[in-house]
Amino acid sequence: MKNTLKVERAKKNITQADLAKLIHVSRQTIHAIEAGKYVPSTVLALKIAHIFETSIQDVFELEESDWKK
Amino acid sequence: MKTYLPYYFRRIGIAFVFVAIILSCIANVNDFLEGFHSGSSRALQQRNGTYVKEEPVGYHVISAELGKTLTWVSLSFSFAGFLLYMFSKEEVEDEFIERLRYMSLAKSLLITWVVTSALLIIHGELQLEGFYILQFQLFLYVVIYNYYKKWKFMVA
Repeated sequence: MKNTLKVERAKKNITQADLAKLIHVSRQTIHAIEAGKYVPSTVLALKIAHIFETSIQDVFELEESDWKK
Repeated sequence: MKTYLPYYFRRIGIAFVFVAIILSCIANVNDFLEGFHSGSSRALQQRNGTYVKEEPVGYHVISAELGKTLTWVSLSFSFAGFLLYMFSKEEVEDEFIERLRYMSLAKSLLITWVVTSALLIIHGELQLEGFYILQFQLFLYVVIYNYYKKWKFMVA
């Protein structure tokens, strides 16, 4: 699954630490999501989308490989 | 994995493990002195070309009974320390950390089984006693968890 978290952060001009504080997770978690090493839960994804005032699909997108699992 | 204790218990856990290491060193001081003495005297004799195999001196800085007691106390401190570390929260506890805990627990269990089985196959008898297997597993958990947290998913 790919995501546009970094782009959305840049648009809003907020750091990983700021975003982490807003959704009550560690900065490490944000870093892992951005790097594609961790796929967040639905709740966390909804929180992220809410902060960026957008829909989940605009932030997270399924890749071809996700259908093969 | 559910964590029950506040963050500061983690520091208490680390302190307990340090106490366990110190107690373990004291418990084995006789063996340490014995090894140090025989090693150094052998090296000196070899240098002078006068190597003669010596009988063990048999140091008794602490009694065997005290050594045994200290070993058990050390083992208890070690268990308590690792368990406190394991069940205390991070500064920020979230789903990602929880996932790391699950992964570390599964991997430490698997490695413990593999190592124990390998020892059993290679030596034909179990080289690790029950409590030491448990201690090894707890130690592995802490190492793997910290590897995941600080290296594999390291914050840039």
